Amino acid sequence: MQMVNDKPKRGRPKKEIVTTETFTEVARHDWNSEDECGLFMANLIKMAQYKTVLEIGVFEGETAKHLIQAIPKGGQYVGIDINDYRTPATMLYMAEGGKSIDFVLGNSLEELTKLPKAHFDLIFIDADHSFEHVLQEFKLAENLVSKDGVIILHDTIHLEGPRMLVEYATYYKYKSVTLNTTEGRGISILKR
Amino acid sequence: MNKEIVTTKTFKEIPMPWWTSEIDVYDLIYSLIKMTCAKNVMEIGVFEGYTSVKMIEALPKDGKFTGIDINDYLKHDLKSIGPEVDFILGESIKVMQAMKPKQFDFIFVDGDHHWENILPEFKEVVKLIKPGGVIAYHDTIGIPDVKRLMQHVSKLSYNVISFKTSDNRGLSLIQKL
Repeated sequence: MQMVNDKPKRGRPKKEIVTTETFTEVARHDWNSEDECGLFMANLIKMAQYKTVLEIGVFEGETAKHLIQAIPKGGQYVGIDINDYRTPATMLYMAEGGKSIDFVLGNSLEELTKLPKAHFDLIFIDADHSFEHVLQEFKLAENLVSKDGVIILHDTIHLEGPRMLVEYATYYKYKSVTLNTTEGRGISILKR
Repeated sequence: MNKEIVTTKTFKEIPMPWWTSEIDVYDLIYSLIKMTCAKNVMEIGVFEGYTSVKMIEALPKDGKFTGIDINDYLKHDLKSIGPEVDFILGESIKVMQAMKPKQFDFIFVDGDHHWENILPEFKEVVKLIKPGGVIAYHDTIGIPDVKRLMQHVSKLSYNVISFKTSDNRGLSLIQKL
């Protein structure tokens, strides 16, 4: 006899979730970036006429929607996440025609090595937030960013890992501008 | 009514349609003010007020906008939007010298584009920005003197990041190290 509790729940099927140490430290509701942050990057993409965008740490795809909408026809979006948390609405955005849109399921440190060099105009890093992880991601992202492109990190005001990375990058060869965000978490724009 | 128009040397050199910023520049500034929750913002070089409108719309109700221009070219009623608006007619350097330091969260500079004026003007602008605040300059790719200013200040203790804009005139964000 089937127990009541065994009935499959409605809604999205439960996915096995891979976590790293910091994933458990940051409250899950905090994983989505502020909406204003996505809008700002969308406006930056349009103004600077960026065509190729890479997002590391897609989660439900709230920011991805803004990034995809901002790239021109013929533009490219690549999103990497260790889990697929995407909502049905995000799936729809990702099916938009005329643009090359890819979602890559995997560990960013492995997947980043497979992407084309000096290719992406904007790289948004918002995945695992430990300094060790962000540093490795950043070093890989450096090879992937285009000549006039930028690397943007989220949570550079309230989390130590990303904040230390910005200090480190600014110390050796990057220019950085750190902006407050609505929840005080902050983003930093880094450019060589 | 015809307004008397004061021009500086560079004003004559730059065609007047160029005095208005590109739409994508207003949009970026709007979303920057929104995202950073800036409350006290200033614009140098208001001209007809297109960018000013966007800046004021991005402010919270208790926010404040200060605009400086050498002439009143305004085509918009800035005070009708909501937040407090202070429009000051005068030379930006002199006007800023009389202001309280470290008060602005964000300053957009798009006034005179001549080297002789923009260098002393920059010195006043940096006195007025709050620690951690951001300054944006327009025309940092398209106008040689402004481009030179960006190169100059990036050698000092400032981080400068420049972006292309739709007309390729350029926008730079500046933050003190």
